[in-house]
Amino acid sequence: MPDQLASPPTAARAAAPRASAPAIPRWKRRGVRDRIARATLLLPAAAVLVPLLAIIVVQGAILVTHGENLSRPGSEKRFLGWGNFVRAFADPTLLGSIRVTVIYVIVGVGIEMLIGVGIALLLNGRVPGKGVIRALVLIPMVLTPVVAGLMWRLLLDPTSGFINYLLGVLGLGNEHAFLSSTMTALPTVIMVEIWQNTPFVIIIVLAGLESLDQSPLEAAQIDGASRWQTLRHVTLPMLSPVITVVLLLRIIDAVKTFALINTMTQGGPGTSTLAISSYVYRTGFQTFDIGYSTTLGLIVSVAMVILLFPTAGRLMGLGGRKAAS
Amino acid sequence: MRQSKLRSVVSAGIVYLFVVWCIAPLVWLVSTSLKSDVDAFSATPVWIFVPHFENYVSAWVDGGMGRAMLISAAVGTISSVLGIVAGFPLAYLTTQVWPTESRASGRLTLGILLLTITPPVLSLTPFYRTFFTIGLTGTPVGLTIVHTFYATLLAVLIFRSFLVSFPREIREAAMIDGLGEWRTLTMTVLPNVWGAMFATFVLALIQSWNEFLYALILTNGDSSTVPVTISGFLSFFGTNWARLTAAGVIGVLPIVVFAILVRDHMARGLSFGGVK
Repeated sequence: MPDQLASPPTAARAAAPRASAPAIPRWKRRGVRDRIARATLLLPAAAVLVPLLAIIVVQGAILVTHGENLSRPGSEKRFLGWGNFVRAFADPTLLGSIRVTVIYVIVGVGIEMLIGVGIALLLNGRVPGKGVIRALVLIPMVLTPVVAGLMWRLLLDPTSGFINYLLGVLGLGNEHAFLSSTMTALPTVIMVEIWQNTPFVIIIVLAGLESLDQSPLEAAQIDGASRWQTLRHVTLPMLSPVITVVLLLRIIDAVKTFALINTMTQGGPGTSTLAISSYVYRTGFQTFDIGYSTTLGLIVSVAMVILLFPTAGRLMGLGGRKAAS
Repeated sequence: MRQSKLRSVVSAGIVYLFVVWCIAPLVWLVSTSLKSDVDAFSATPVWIFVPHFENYVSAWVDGGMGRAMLISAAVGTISSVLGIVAGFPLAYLTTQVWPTESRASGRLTLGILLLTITPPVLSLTPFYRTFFTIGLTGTPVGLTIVHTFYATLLAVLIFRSFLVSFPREIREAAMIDGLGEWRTLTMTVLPNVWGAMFATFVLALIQSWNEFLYALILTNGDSSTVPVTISGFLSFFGTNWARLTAAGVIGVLPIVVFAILVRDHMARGLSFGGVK
């Protein structure tokens, strides 16, 4: 069709002599090229995600059905079928590590939310030096968790730690081994989790507060509502979408916790701080039982996705009625 | 009037106390890094001391922090940039080409969300096993690939949260003018979402720099990243806390300074559009 090059619409009309609707052929002609162009938009992401997903699925399927142990050559050929799952469902350590993780997430994230929302509300008022405060408060959140864990280990050291010195000065005894007692290890690790991640809540809730529509607040003030009433009946309800998102993001992140625990206690003493990630790591890379380790990872991930995915999808305005924004 | 004054003093006081709680441990970290090893491990705190900068030299040279910083910077930068390159077109496709409400867009985004929620322990052993077989463990390459995976997920969600409210008419006009999808993407949409791109870069870089679980199994010795190198300073035979804390300060300094400089870009990216 060299003679029609100059004018594509004519070409379309020539192909369909009853040119009552030239828009349809044009749309169709563009269709194939468009579809190819659209498909290329997927390519970069697919190039990153698909090979790795294939590894997870294929290699994962092999690992969970075999009793591979990295320290025993030949063990990768030992087919177990459901054996790893049977073992997991009778494994008291798995149950214990789920318990540790649930306590860690509920207590840790719960307190982070309370303190975080509280401080954000106070910071939203008149506090001198707000700019500097916002910059300083950010630091724990971006601090490398390994460094945060080691720093707290130093501070909590029974012989030379500053916390014990402080408690000694206050007359509360100066030889507390917080991280090596099964009673105090988990609460101590949770305290460090709260130290590190409360700023995340503050920063997002504060940004949410600052973007709130001011008119309902002013209306409440004019109507003579007290500060507490305004907070309870106007501010917090308006803020609730932001609070829900922060809560969800903190839960998703806290369930994955590894670096803090691994640098402070390695899951110990015993299994008192052995959260799920630490247990999977310990099984796979310290006892080298990687077939079983993969099975543990799979069970935990499935549970996690079932628990959180529906809420997460709804909050992102997906897979349900779209949230008005 | 007096009551409201009292109230603001009290609330400022609580905020300052919280700031002290956040910062005091860091002050202790920095001061320990400047002490001699004996003072660093003293039972009663040593308040006045001559700064020992040789801890820093020792951490940087003998401790391998210099090399670790280089590796972390390379892994972080490469994976963040690749994540943006991979994630941005997908976010464009699911918000501008397809309407956000469309089924295809919803499904793709749910898939990305699903991968974000899935704990990394699921892929830990499959990645290790595969990368070990093809010789990518003990090098920064395997880790960069894994970090690119997570950077891509982050990029899709952040770009998407910015592009959801971006008018689709702009793309349609560009398409009528004969720009293809890729030129529309780079020439008309991208210039409007530099903020999203910057936020993605910052968060992906911090995420990669701080990541420990994959780094621990995929890198070792000369390929160790910053967190792996620092955790290696712990020793059963008496840890040198002065040198360890010096390494810690070196390792977190770039990321902390960077985060403070770009903090305004972070809040919106952090919440995936939860805060407008």
